[in-house]
Amino acid sequence: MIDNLALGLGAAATPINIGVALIGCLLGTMIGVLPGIGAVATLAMLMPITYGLDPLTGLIMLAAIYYGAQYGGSTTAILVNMPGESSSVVTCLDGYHMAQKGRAGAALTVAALGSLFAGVVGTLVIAGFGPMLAKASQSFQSPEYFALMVFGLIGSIVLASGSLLKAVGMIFLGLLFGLVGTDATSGTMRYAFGQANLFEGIDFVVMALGLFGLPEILRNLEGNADSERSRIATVGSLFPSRAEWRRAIPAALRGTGLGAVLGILPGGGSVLASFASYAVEKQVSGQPQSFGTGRIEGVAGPESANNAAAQTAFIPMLSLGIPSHPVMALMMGAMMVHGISPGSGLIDKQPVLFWGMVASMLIGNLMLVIINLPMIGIWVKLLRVPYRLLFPAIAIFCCIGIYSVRGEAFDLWLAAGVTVLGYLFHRLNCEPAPFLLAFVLGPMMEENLRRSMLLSRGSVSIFLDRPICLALLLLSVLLLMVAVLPRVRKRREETFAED
Amino acid sequence: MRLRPVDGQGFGSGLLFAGAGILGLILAGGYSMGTAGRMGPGYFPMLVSGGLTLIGVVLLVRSLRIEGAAIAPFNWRVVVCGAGAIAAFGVLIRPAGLVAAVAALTVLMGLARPGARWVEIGVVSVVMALFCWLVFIVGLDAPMRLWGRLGA
Repeated sequence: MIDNLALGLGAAATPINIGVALIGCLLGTMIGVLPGIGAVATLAMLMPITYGLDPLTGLIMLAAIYYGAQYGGSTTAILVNMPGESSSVVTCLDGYHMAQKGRAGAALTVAALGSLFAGVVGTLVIAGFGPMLAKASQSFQSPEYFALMVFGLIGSIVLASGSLLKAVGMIFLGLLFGLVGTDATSGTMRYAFGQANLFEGIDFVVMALGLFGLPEILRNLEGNADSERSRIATVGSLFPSRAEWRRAIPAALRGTGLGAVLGILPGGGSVLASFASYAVEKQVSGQPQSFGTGRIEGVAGPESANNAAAQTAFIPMLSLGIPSHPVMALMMGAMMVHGISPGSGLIDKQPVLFWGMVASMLIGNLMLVIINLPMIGIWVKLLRVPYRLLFPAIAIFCCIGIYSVRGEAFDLWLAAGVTVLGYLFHRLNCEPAPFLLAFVLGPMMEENLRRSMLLSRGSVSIFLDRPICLALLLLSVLLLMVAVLPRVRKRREETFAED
Repeated sequence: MRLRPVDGQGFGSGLLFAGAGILGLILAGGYSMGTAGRMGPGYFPMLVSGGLTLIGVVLLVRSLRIEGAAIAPFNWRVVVCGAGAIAAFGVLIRPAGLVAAVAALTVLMGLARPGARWVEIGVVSVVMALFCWLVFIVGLDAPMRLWGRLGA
């Protein structure tokens, strides 16, 4: 592993790769700080720009934006009581109360250092566990991949919030949208309505921005986002007291462990990790009622957990080729544009790419602490920019991002349509994340189903005869059943009802 | 059984899923099905559309019995202005260029809320056009022109 990390460091420590990692970290922190724009939208917006870069350079930048956003999100949560990023929702609870007591600086420091520790551990988990998983999956064939995708999709809805039935519906709808375009095997046009612009399918940049970036702007236009942002707490001293350290360190350790495990699970990711860590800290403390009044554990735990999860979420994508949530689906899309297919062969065939990314994550996490702590004043200033000046800028960047994919005005009309659909999903309380995952996985699922059935000459038994495949399918069924059980269902609602 | 939905959101989602599923089934009927062993281009779409329709119907039936939240009314002004702004950018970017597309988007987004501040909208348009020109056209060489065909 040391040799490999050295190889990676050699690739990641070139001036250009350090430069893009820094740009990515800065951008990530910025969008993390700003409420109203998330990591999915930013990645989708900037993806076309990275197409022109070297694959490793492009991926380093995209990855840095994603984990950078996890750091930045805590700043807004602590200082303004608004989550800058969805994974920072729970940080508001105790972080803002700490800020009101004049301990904002301590909360920020604990969040940043906890994130650094968790980020480094998470990255080392990728380095250790990724290759192992890739090796184990080398014997996988189409039936296993199909089962793995089913497992991933089911996982994404079981661990998410909201109605299960609707989430399953969103998966099917996403699969259907994924089928638009030319069928790779027969060359038949499907669901293209005779539109030449749809022959290659709907681009995922259009879909991601139409579902995540643009509807968010519409929702903010409806509300009055500016009035809530008038009160920004003062930062104060950045140094936590000795008592604060003593309580924060164990919480950060627990959060890191929990986040690293939950990040690997399909659908897990950083949001779930932060919620789960908060729940654990409440239990462990023995005085759950004191949470929400400014306990430092309530900041240290969840902030470490979300960063650990943000890192380990790369594992299933890099070593199995299965993205566990929308950000990973986008990263995978970006790799495929460069002709790199993530999966069991990636680490062997592209060691420089894999280890370069891992090494750059270590560098990036170090940069982020510097970006977040000594430079906190800049981010506070950014928070004072009123939203009504920001949203045209966000919308313009989205539009330019969509247009840069292939220079077609049609994609913008399509995006306008998808935006209305995204707005409707929100009104119907339907989660867009499973939709986007299914949209990306759809064509691969069809391909693997086809190949499996070709192997077995049309008999479904092929999925039951292969042990790993059967195990994955059984696990999916089990997950689904567990989620339907009334007790778990209630727990699930409680976990997500914290805010 | 009452026929008025008590779960508005469930009813709406059911309608959306069932509608999309039925449309998917009808269109998939036009593609060759093949057999399970040799799937044609219509096989997987049939499965997916069938599943979608089924879930839609279940949601519809459930929504008549199980209590749930109503759908909050659409803010049409925001939807029309927001989606219109994106579409307008698409209409203008090639023939009229970046400046016109940015201005049109900013104005339409500004109209989404009552009490538009015209001076501010003007300033934002100019600043954004300048910024995007520097970053995307000068810096990144994106396939766009500042003034489009009209000015060239």
